[in-house]
Parts: sequence; C-alpha cells; structure tokens
Amino acid sequence: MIVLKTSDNETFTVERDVAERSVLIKNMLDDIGENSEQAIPLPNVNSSVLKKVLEYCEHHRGEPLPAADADTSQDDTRKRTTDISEWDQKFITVDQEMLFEIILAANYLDIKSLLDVGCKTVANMIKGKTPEEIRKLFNIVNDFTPEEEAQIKKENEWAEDR
Amino acid sequence: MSNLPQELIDRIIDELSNLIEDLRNLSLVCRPWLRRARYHLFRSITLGPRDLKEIREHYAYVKQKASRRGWDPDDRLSFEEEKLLRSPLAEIHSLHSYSYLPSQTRYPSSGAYAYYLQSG
Repeated sequence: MIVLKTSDNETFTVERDVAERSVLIKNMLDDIGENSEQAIPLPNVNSSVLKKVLEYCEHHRGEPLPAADADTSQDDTRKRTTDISEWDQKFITVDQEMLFEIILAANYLDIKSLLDVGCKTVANMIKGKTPEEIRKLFNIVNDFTPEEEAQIKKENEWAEDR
Repeated sequence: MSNLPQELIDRIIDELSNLIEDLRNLSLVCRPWLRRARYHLFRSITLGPRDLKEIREHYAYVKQKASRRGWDPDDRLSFEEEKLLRSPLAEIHSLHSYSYLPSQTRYPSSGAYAYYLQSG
C-alpha cells in the first residue's frame, strides 16, 4: 500500500497499482524503492481533487497505460475524437471549478487518459459557441481591441475549410 | 479557466483542430487562445489561382526570368518571386485538382503547380 499526502495534509492509503496510474507517482516510487513507508507528498493537489482522481484511477486500474512516447507520436493532423466513454462522462460531470482542478491535477500527476477526458470535456463545452458565449462560459476577459478583432476576422477568411 | 497554464489551453484547442468554424471562434476569444487556434487554421494553405495551367505558366516564367538574371535589370526578381523559386513548389512531382477537372487528373513532373504550406 502507498500513502499519499495532499496539500491540505490529508493522507490517502491506496494500492500501488492504483497509485501508479499516475506516471509521476510511479516514477517517484521507482526512485525511492519498494520498502519506503514514507508518505508521498503531492503539494499541488488538495484532498477533494485527489479523492476524485483516485476514483478514476481505481475504475481504470489494470488497463494498459499509454506508451511513454505516445505524446510525441501523437500527430496533430490525426483525427481527434471528442468521444468519452459513458463512465468517464458521468465521472467528469462536475462543476467547472472541479473540472479545471481535475485537469490541472491530471497534468501534474501525469495521468494521460484523465487529462484527455478533461480536455475533451472542455472542448465539447466550447464546440459550436460564439467567442462571446465562450468568454461568458469561462469568465474570460476580451483583451482584443475592436480593430484587432476586425483584423483577425478578416484574416480568418483565408483559412480553408477542410 | 484563467488560471490554466498556456500548455493546457493549447491542449484543449488541439481537441478542436479539425473544426474550422470553431477554430475561427476560438481565435477571437482572447489573446492566449489566438496563437494555437491559428496554428491549426493556417496549418494547410493551398495557393491560388486554382487553375493549374496558370500556376504552371507563372512558375515557368519566374524560372526563366531567374535564369536570365544579370543580363537585364528588368529581369531582377521581386521578393515574392525569389520566395516562389525557393519554395517547396519546386519539389512537388505531381498535383491534382478536384475543382476544375472532371476527374482527378495527375500532371507529370515537369515543374510544379501548387503546394501545401506546412507549418510546425
């Protein structure tokens, strides 16, 4: 069993194969060796987020991990799918703050599949919305001047439909 | 969203990299979104004119002009023409057009007619 310690000093005891869904934790464990009883500190993750992340790791335990070089072989021109499995979809149905916390945690802990689910979820929220609707949805301030906006629109006309 | 690092904003935009209409909208949201949206928007550019014959003729003209260089000040190449000559256009062996020709027609490798600009 592995002990994880969150930013708010809560400890979680989990089985090794669950914790090792996180490449960060896996590498740490490889570094410190088998017999360490020490808790692994995760200063960038709080307990409510880690609880959620561990729920995901638990559900997906035993599934093959993506190869270490999967990121580099992932071509941008590859057709991306924004499909999410039913369980994942239910899992990621959380408020926006939690959604972004999960994305940040998945990025920090290096859990590629969870990062995928999070980013796809946000992408699905964005799809089909106008710039103004997107700003409103995520509380983003428009930092373009009207002139810049007009210029971008004009230049965007050159982009080809694919 | 605003406390998300740039790499994750880019990562989210990448999910929509094939949806031109969405990318157009994304580029207008705010500055941190513009660069990545445009990276996808302009990843592939087809040069016009779409008439292959016209492109071939223009390329041949520029090439000929380049070969005469030095003899006549009128033969000096413009910046755009220099760019065209050094472009991957010269490397392309065949090209087909879907817009003008009734069926997909390949042109033999006697020059180049258009090319796709790949960035990144």
